Formats: sequence, C-alpha cells, structure tokens
Amino acid sequence: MIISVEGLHKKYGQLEVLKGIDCTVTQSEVLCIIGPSGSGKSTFLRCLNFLETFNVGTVTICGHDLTKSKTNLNLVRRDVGMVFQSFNVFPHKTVIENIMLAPMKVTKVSKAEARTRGMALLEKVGLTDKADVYPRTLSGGQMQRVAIARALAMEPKVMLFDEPTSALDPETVGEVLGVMKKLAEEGMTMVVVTHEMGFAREVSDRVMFMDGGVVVEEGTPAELFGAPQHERTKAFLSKMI
Amino acid sequence: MVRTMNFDFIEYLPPLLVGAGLTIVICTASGILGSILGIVFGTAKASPSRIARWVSSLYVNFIRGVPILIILLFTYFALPLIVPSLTLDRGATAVVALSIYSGAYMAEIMRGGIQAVPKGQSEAATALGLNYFTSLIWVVMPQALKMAVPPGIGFLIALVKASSLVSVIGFVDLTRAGRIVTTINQEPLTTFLVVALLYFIISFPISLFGSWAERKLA
Repeated sequence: MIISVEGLHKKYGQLEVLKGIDCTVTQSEVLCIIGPSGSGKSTFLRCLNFLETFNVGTVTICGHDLTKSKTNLNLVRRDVGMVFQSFNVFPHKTVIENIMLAPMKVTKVSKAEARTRGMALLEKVGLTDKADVYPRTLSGGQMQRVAIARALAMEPKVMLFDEPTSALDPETVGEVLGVMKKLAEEGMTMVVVTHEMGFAREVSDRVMFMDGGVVVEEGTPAELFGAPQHERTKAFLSKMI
Repeated sequence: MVRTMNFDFIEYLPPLLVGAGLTIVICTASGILGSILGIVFGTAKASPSRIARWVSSLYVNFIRGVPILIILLFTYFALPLIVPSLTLDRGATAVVALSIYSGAYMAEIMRGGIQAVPKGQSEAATALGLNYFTSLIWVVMPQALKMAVPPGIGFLIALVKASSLVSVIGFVDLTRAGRIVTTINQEPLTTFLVVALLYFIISFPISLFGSWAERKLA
C-alpha cells in the first residue's frame, strides 16, 4: 500500500471540508478523484503531502506516517511529486533550472548530473528545445509539462495532480494529458484530481467521486461511469457529459 | 543695494564638492546597511515565526513613528550617556542613524515584495522538498527583490534628501558646507543654487538607474 488514509477530517474554522475520508492506493495504481467544486477533492489531495494540515485521521504515504510529529515532512515530499493547477513554475529560472533546482538543493546532486537528468526529463515531456528559455515564453501546456518534469526530477514514488489541465487552453490540454498517460503506462502511482472525464475513464484504474467532503462512491471507471449507484453521482455525471 | 550674482565662484566650489562627496559616502553606506537591515527585518516580518514578526514590527513601527532628526540627536548625544564606551564620531553617527532609519522603511518594502510573490511559488518549492530557508533563498527572495527595486530606489532618493539633516550634529555634509560657505561669501543665492544642483546631480542618476533596472527586470 503506497497511500493509506483513515478517517481524515479537516476543518477551516467552523467549516468542515473533509468529513472522514478513507482511501487506499496501491503500487502503480492510477486513482482519479472527480466531483463538483468545493467538494473537498483538492483539499484532500493537499493533505497527502501535508501542504494542508488536518484535524483528525491518519495518512500514511510511502511508509511515512504524517500524523507522527517526528516525521520529517521534507523527506516525505521528496517521495511525493505534485503538479498544480496554476503550474507554479519559477519565473526567474530557465526551464532546465526549474528542473535542476530541487535535485541540487535538496538531494545535493552535482550540477552536471542534475542537468543530464533534467534533459532526459525534458525529452520525456517533449520540450528539449525549450531547455534554456524562461517560462514566460511558454504556453500553458508547455509550462505544465515543465512542472511535471520538475516534479519527476526528485524521482518520486507517487505523483499528485491537482486539476492539472483546468487552467489550460483547450488546444493544449491534450499534450499534458498525453504526458500523464505515458507516465501511468510506465507504472507511476498517481492520484489525479480532474474534470477530464475522458482521461479518468481511459487511464485510471479506479475513480472516486467526492461531494460535500465525503467519498460518495468509488469503483472502476466502468462501474462508476457505466452504472453509478448514487443519485448524486448520477446527477454530477449527467451534467459533465 | 541689490546683490548681483557672483560668478567668480571657483574658490568656493571645492568645499561644496567635499560636502557633496561626504553626502555620497554617508548615503551609500547607510543605503547599503539599511538595505541589509531591511532584508533581515522584512524577511522576519513575513516569516511564520511569531516572535520574529513581533520583533520586526516593533522596530519598524517605532522607527517610522520617530522623526529622523530625533534619531540623529539621540544617537549622537544620548547614546553615549547610556553606553559610555559607544562614542561615535559625527560621520559614524550619521551612518548609524540613517541606517536604522532606512532599515525600517526598507523592511516594509521587502515585506511587501515577499508577500507579493504568489503563494503557489513557495508551495511548489515545499512540495519539491525544499525547506523554509532553501525555498526563501532560491525561490521567493529573487522574485521579492525584483518587486522591491522600484520602491527601494524611490526610498534611496528620499534618503539622499533626508541626509541633509545630519548637519544638525555638526557633520559637514553638502548642506552644512553650503551654510558655511554662505557665511563667508555672503552669497546665499548662488551658493544654495549650486547646493541644490549638486543634490540633483547626486539623486538624478539614482532615478535613471531605477528606470533602467525596472525595464531590465520587467
């Protein structure tokens, strides 16, 4: 079990956004989380690498128990890559420098080694020709591919994607989903919060539908999209198609 | 009798230029020291540590609420009474007082710069496993400094003008040199015109540098 979550509760003041989430993810599994805005799916994802604190429950990820105070969060985060909706590429660094930064500063990889590895990752996301340009010259889709390469540079065991295509122009969504699909085929364990139902149906092993801070229903894509059991799932899916 | 402008000014120019030189020296020194103080306290003010925030708020709010003239007079006349071993000469007093003064304003400028960096930047750094200081140094600070340049330059120009107050502790800067010259030559019109011109010659390049830096960093 790579990720194991039990009874996760999260409150912002009086507002309870996660009301007891249980979830497990196994090696090489691709889990897609779908649901309406405000359902808590992004908050849940951010709890997995402790970007968001939580009140009650346990999260164990790659063998690290996040509830233990002596767990070194920076060590956890080396094992868990994350891709954000707003890319968050570093604007003051070139594409290759974006990718080289964490290996050099966190795992003390030499500059030459970091560059070699970075170039290999850029090849993987199809951006070798952009290595030495600054991000502002890139399209959204290209920026997101840089962000994926940057996360992969730390050789994570799990990748978290927080609505990776929601801020993209429709014509660049495909190139990002293509990279993600390739990653899934290579056996990367992935948790993807998304509104791309096509991707969820085609690439994921399991789909989780969240609404109002709870997991309403989960199953294989065939089960969830083909024969949803709950009214809320049916209502949501009918609106998405 | 109406005084006419005396263009035979060459003999009075050297003392004014020396004063201008000293103004440049104290402004450069206190500008640099003030920027360092500003980076330290500005970072503390934007930090997650409550104590660091509290200490820097105290410094910034107190200094900003006190006239620079009082800071100068206090440093020169009162500080030696509290710490007898700390007797600074006029020049050192000027630099210390102006640095403390600049530090408070620079701290606010830096805090603004740090807080203007989108939160996603430090989140991305955190998610990559960078700790607070590594993220600050390599991700947040370079972007914050960029944003702090235009207001920082604006403050430096204000500092050059505020430095004229150091004449009250008897330091012979450009302003005091001007006053001394007028007591000798009885030519306030030409003398202060030249003093004003020299201040402009000192501060205008800073504005030019500011607009150049702004274009360069944009």
